[in-house]
Amino acid sequence: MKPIHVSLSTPGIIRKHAGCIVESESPLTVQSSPDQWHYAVSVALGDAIAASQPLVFPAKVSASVNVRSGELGCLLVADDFTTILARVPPSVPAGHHTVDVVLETSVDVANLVFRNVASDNRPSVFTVESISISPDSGDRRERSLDLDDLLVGNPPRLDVAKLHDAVINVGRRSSGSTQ
Amino acid sequence: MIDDAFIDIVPVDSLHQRLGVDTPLDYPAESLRKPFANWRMEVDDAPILRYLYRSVRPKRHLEFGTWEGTGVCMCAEECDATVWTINLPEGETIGGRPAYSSAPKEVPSGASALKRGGDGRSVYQTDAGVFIGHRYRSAGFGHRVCQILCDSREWDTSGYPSDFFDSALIDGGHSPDVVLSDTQKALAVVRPGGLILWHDFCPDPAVFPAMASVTGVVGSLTREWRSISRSLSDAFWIRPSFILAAVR
Repeated sequence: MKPIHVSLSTPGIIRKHAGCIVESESPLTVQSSPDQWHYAVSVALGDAIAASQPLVFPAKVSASVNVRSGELGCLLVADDFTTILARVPPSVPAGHHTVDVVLETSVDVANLVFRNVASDNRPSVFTVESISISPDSGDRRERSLDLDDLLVGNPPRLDVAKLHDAVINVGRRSSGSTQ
Repeated sequence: MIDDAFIDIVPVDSLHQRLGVDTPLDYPAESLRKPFANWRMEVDDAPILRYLYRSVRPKRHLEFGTWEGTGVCMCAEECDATVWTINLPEGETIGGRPAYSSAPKEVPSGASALKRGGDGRSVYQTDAGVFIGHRYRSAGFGHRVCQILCDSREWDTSGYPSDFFDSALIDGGHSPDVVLSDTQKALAVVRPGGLILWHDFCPDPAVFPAMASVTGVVGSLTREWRSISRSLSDAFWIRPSFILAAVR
């Protein structure tokens, strides 16, 4: 299956969140709120996911971004804008990056959120150049770990060796995730 | 001694039982629902830290990482402790640039701006100079604080008895070597039965890629847990939080 490119000019696909300034809509250039973690804009991916059927999971949502200043984070959330649907990728500093977020299991709706990550009360300014969805063909991969994978027993306890391996392995996997 | 292969998990609603106190923590429901990716110490961990100080009531508290002094205020407001707190005098730098710079709403007298940001606001290094501890000073706690300005790795503990402190919070540098050094120093000066807390300990792998501070703390502690745990009589992660608690 070829990557599905998400058209950012589709009416209603982009949601602007409180406190952000949209400097231009084409290309989509945004100044976030200065508050850490505050959502700037989000892109509804439901139509693109539907158009991709049968989409093979895990699927990769790739966003090409140009961060002019600050530090940008991406995450996939459900329509309540609280439930996180996929592992949060590393944030990206100033420069061009492709940020990949991997959906492990099938969903009908998802919103790709762009948010300010910096803790220093400064906004991030960035341009979303493109978004695409494709099967995650990665040669990597075992399933991403969850907290539950690191627990043993009842009542559950943290397995120290597994926890240490998870930290080390995530450090290895996350390197090279941006370009 | 504790089982060095595992770390217990204590839910916030039963933290009082683990501490042996009567009053449970009234923890915000909003924080219980919040994903770790959106966690904020001053919002989501602060009620737990305040509860711990209020319950344990240390007389002498040690803190690695003063920054602006918020942590000292939490301790000083909840108990009668005198607080020893350590910070790099010139602040932390990464690659020669300040690790913590911002355009804060509250600027202490005498602060010099690093530059003016793109939005016109002045940008300051907030873990250096007069910014260090300005919040506890402005809150009137200066007479209860011993401010130590040095690289914590060079802090000499030999003048302190091994049972000097009742509690410690380790929240300074988050690189593995600093975390380990601060841990070893805390273990050397916190009394048996005293409380040791590590901040930025969150074992959820979902946050690892995005939070280097967490991987620094979790990676360092899990690597050395076998030796660290020998000095502890209890240890548990408070769920949900970014706090690992231990009893010396």
